[in-house]
Amino acid sequence: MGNFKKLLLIAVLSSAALTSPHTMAWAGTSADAVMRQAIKHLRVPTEQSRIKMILVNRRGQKRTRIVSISSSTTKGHDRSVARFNYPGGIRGTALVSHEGRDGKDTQWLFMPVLGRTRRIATTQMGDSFMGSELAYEDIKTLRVEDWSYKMLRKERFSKRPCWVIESRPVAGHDTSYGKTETWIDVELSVALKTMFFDKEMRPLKVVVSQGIEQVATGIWRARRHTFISLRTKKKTVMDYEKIVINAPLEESIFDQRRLAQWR
Amino acid sequence: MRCTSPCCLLALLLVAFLWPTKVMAENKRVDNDHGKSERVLVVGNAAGWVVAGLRKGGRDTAQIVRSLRRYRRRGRVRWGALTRHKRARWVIEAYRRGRGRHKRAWLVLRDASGRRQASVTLRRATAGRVQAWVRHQLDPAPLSVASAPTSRAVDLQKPAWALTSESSSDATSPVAKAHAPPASAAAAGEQLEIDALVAGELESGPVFAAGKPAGSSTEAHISSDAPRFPFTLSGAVWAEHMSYLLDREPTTINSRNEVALDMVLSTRVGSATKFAHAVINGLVRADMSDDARTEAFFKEAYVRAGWGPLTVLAGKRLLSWGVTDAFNPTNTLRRTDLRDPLQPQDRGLFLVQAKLLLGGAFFAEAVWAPLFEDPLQPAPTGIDSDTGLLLSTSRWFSGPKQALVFIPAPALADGPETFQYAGRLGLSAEALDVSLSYTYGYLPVSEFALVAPGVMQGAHHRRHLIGVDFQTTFGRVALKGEAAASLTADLDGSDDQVPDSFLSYVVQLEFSSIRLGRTGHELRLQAQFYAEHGLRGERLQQGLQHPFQFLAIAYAEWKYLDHTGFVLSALFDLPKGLGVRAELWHELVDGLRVELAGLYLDGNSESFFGVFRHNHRVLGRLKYAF
Repeated sequence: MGNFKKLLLIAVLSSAALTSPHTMAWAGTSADAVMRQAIKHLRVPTEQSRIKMILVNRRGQKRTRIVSISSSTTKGHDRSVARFNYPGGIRGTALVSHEGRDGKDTQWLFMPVLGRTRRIATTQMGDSFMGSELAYEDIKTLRVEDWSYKMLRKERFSKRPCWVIESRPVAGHDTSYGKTETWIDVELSVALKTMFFDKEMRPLKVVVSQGIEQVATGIWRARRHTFISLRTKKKTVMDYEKIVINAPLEESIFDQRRLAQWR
Repeated sequence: MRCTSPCCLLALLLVAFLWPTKVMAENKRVDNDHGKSERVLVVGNAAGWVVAGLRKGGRDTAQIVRSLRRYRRRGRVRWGALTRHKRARWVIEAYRRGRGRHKRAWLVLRDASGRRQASVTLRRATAGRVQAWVRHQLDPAPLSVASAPTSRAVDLQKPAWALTSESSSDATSPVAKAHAPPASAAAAGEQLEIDALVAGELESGPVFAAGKPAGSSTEAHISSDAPRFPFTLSGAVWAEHMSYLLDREPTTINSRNEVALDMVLSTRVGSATKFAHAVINGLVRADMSDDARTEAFFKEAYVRAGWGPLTVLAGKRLLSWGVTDAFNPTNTLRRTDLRDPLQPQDRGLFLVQAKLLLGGAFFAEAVWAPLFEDPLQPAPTGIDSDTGLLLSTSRWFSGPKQALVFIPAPALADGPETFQYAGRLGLSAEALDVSLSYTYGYLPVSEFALVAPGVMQGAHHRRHLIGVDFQTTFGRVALKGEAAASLTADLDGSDDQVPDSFLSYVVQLEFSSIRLGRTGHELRLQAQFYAEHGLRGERLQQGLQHPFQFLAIAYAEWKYLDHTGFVLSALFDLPKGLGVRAELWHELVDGLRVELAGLYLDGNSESFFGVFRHNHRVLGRLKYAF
């Protein structure tokens, strides 16, 4: 009888555990679904942003870069143009990227000093973007199918309930990372923190997002991303001075034949 | 593989429920001694009991210690006053000793029996670091599902509750195992450091922007981004010194000491396809060593209008056709200042240009340049009456050395006879950029020839130029090339007064940057091969018109974080000449850059570098771009 009572108690408690909101959320949420939702919010039809990048070295010295990026996703393919506005030495430089059918980018670079548009070999995904702690792949829009996801846990980060999801590249995906761990806000599907690991699974860098606000209906974006290299302790702060989502964009701004006209 | 039978599910649920909850650090607002609300960092153990509270945000050790002591006095540290204090399992105590520079403070972690488990000295500690340390001390052992406790009876000596999550963690999930804290001391220290960095960053601003907008506001964003002033001003100002190291004859100019301002003023109205655009690019230069280089001129000054696929431009414009870097055989419709042939500077020509974008990534271009401008090149400045040798202040003059009479090339009268034309048809597709061009223009430098015994005269010569260029990429390699047939009035090479027709071509291989061992170090490599020869393969007369017969260039650039770089170029003037150029640059602050460069030349008298082998030079430049 005693054993029976114990079993009953356990059964009741188990039911309670099952029906508690946390358990329900945990049981009903897959990592794929969370990431799909988060990436869906990133892959908007058009986006324009003006980004101020502050590169801070170990001694606290700062350098500033300002770049305007416009991107468009049509039929699953991304096109983007980045125009560099500051400092003066790179002002007017523009980089156009077209994603091909094979998922790889074709890139053209317009340099005002040369006055011509050059086709450039696709940068290695892990290369530094403008000397910052960002890699080129960090500024590319994520594709759901390029990674496999695993739900690690649910925990609070900076007062917000988050899913912690581990992403590992699928075979054949060109990336410099061994895995990432992302803290995704449960309610808003926006990443608040991401840890990057190298191929040997050593921590590489961490990015923290701040100033999150709604930039379009249901779409939340961070106004500031701070990338911290865990190897060099250098830091890159990306301040979004402007974010425009889903505003109409002329397709011709991505036309490499027109790049020189924008000088 | 997952078992979905009812028994297994029930077992999973049981384990899930009985799993100890979490160890968590979080922010809470509490009222301090003065009745004000302040943020407190609260550390809890696996059972959710609060064991420590620190005031968050303070960077001073003493401040943290004071906070700890205050909370301790009020029972918040030692007994976890916020929740379940009587069942607290871990205790954090704070101590401070000494004053001033000798002040030292530390935290001690004790278990419920009072045994000291760990301690940390607080030197410049932040709340984040303390938090990370506490978390690490509470979670030293990796979690193993197999060894997961099935009750709340926990061995205090070997704490097994390693999960750091506050909320529901599925004990049966293998991911819990995957997220076990780092086992090695080094990894644990690293994690501690990461947490501290993140915590420090979060202190700089809130995760959410103040006043969250309720809905879309894209239009407002767009209008706020409109430029206040429709003109853009950019450019650069620099001071430069260059010295030739050898053979510093008093009759030649052996250095360069210039200050210059290169300024671009532009304005643009309209959209991407319907627009009007105006650009003025002027250069003002003062050279204390060479009066001929003290000048002010417009490099470019044009207006451009676009209407759909058609763009029309009129004014002084620097055409930039071709795809390669050092040599562009197809890009000839321009005025180039070759007075320093190793540092040529291009200037625009007055022209009218129309560009039409066609379907399928094709484009067509037509150019008409009605005004001819004399090329700028090293020229004789007189004849030595004693020796009969031609004199020049330039160290790069390489024409015939002896004459009785020297007559510069006559200025050409503007008119239909001197019009220059060019056209281009191109394709810019996903896999390949290619274009075919035709130019009816002039050779880039005027040729000096003996027109009578002892009489040398310069002349401008017409040519037809048919060119093709392409660029494509293979993975991390870009392959580019240009070829041009330059057809003068002397197709068969029989007329001594007219330069021979010739072929020129260049192939360039460039590799995208290669990351070197340490973060931020990159290497760029490039190789080029350039050749010029007569239509039948014959060697051309070496001079400024044809400086190189065959030239191979190897280029390497090391760059560190976009602010420091070293460039090394080797130019092999085949078969018997060599030029080596090294340049070091550093960006002092945004836009301000210092450059140091050196050039070494060697070879025999049949090569361009050999002829000028005494023109080794060094250069220093301070440049600010705005």
